[in-house]
Amino acid sequence: MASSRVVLSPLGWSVIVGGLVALLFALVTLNLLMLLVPVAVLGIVATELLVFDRTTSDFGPEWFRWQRFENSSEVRIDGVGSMALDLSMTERRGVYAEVYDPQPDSFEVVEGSARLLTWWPDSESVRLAYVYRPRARGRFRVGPTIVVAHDPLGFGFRMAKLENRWEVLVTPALTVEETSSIATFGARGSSESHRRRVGPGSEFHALREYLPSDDARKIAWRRSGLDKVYVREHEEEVHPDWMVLLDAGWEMRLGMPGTESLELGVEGGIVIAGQAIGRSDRVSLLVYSDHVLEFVPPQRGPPGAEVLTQAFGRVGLAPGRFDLAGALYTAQKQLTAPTAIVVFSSLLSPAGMIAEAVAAVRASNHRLIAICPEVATLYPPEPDPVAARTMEFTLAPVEQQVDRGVQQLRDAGVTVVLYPAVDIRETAVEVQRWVRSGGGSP
Amino acid sequence: MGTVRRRVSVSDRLWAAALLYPAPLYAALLVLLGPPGGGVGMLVGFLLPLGFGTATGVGLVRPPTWVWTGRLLLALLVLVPFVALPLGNGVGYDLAAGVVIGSPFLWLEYAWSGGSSPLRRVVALQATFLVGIACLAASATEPSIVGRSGGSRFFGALGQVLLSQLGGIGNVYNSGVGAGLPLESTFDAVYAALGGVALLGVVLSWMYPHTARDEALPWSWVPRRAPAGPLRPAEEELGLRPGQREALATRTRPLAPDTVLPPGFLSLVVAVLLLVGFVALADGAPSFALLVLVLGCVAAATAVSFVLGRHLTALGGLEG
Repeated sequence: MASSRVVLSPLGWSVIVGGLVALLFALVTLNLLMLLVPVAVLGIVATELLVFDRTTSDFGPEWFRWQRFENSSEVRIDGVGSMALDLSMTERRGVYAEVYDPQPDSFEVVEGSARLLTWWPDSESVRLAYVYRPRARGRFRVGPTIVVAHDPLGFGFRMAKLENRWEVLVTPALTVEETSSIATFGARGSSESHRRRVGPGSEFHALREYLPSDDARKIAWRRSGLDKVYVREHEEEVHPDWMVLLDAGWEMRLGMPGTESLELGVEGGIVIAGQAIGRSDRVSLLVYSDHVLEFVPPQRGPPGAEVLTQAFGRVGLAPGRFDLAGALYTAQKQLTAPTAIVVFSSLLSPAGMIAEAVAAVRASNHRLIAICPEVATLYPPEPDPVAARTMEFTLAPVEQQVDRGVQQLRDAGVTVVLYPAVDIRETAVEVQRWVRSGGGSP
Repeated sequence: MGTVRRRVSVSDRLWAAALLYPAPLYAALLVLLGPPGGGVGMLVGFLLPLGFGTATGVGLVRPPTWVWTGRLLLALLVLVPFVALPLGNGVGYDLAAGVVIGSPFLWLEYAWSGGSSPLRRVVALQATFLVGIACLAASATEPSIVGRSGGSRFFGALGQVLLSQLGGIGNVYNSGVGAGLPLESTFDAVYAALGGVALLGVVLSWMYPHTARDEALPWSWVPRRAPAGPLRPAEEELGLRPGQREALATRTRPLAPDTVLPPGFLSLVVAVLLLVGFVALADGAPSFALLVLVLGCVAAATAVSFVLGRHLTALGGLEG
């Protein structure tokens, strides 16, 4: 039966080195009392290690039976997950054991413990249970559980790895959110004006005096008096289908870990999806690098929100450059109804025949808007002037490259919104409001 | 980790200190009351490191700056007479000799404080024995310097002992004859017995670094990990299902072994047998004992290396 090797612990090393130093002292003096110290110390270490090696010679995963239970397989990023594990020993031998269930760095254990250091009597089972809070979205793996057997004095140890991995999908929080009005981004780069029309929509616009041609159901009775009668005016709203087109190419790693372009894109996409589903619109998701990574057909209502949440949770970087033209052709093929396509990309180097692809999309009555982070805001500001200048100098070529990508899209007639990284949610809300009021129409 | 809690690293090791102190105290008193007779100056010099070392050991003097300043001042007290005073100046050399005799107490705390690694413990103990044996050898040597103060004569004798020892080691290497080694021939039965007790104190304090039964593990000198965080949410705030709450509530806590024999008992028995055998052999045939010691060390090192050197092959089979 295969067994892991015995490894010296820091304590073991410490005792052995201590014994050898004592032996050196003793050999200088050759005094009997001084010789006793290294004999005792080295004798204990050697005996302990040899006995431990003998008694645990077949130590390995075969010694254990395990069962995971009450484990979360899907956790919202603003929620908590639970993990529990029962381990029992098949061998009738007691050991000092350390049981550890490794989990990703982005999991913070908030209750219980993923580690247990204990005397493990034979024929008894050990239960490990803990609750964690994820700090990042994505697919993560917990385990394999590691059991370390120590000798009773802690001089050495053996390790066994139990193949009991568990996959956890951390999904973003899909919320319906309305933010207060933000300055229109048309001033930040869009040449199109913010268009809203008064009409039969659902968003309240203003009160005006009643006209004989008005629908009596629109009368605002509380505001009306005997002398004047008012009616409510609503904004005309467009209820398009939505598609979030997420660039998952390698260049979306731009930014600080945890807030890189891809994460900002996911955050913006989830805001748009949440808002749209909250208004009973249909939302689809296309994750693309140089090929389709995932396509979620148009979804509606709570079941659709669940499907989209899981899909957003699975998004990860893929090796390859973002092929925008290919993505647009794919979108065009998949979409059957007029759709507002919102592209989240760093636009570092959008590849393909973009002008033709955009024209084809527009010809199919889809609307297209691209949202791109401002490169300088992806990194925290440097307080030191020299460091700030160095950072500016380093980022300058990247910014130029992004500017070229933005210009390429604008030349093709696409509305491109550049946003500061911290304002991704507000930008997504504002883009959606703008599109709903008719912006970005072909 | 419910029952494993942070403890003061010193207070529960006082029993180890109680086993360690008698040997160096005995050696020091034997020298102070012995033939050179240093008088009050030597006694005061001895009390300085004894008091200061004990104060740092029990935690009365804690800031590292104070601890190291105190040790530096005591070292200067030993060095200054040799640099600044003519040989034979009574009080200066008496004080310096007293400090040297009491010097083991300056590092003895490393042999018994809870946070010390076994390396520090063993080296501290062995250094204590070395100073004690050197002082005993010096007190038994008639110095060539006569008519001076007790401190001067002590240093004279100590110098002679060290020089003879170095010369004797040179002879062993050159001609294989081990004669004329003053440290080897110094043997005081009471000191040896007290030294054995001190060794037991150090060894047992690894095996029983705790006095409370709620400590799960014997190697608690290893630095503990910081707790996960000061603010832990209440379970009801986490929104757990009943099954998850039950799993949390019934998770295993660190458990102390419920066995008759203490951990490492077998190793201790083997070590005691080795010691008894070695002492008996050293008494009967000293040269043979030394040979056995060297061969035993080599055999132990080979066996341990063999155990540590085995490793898994890529296919999972044992190699070596």
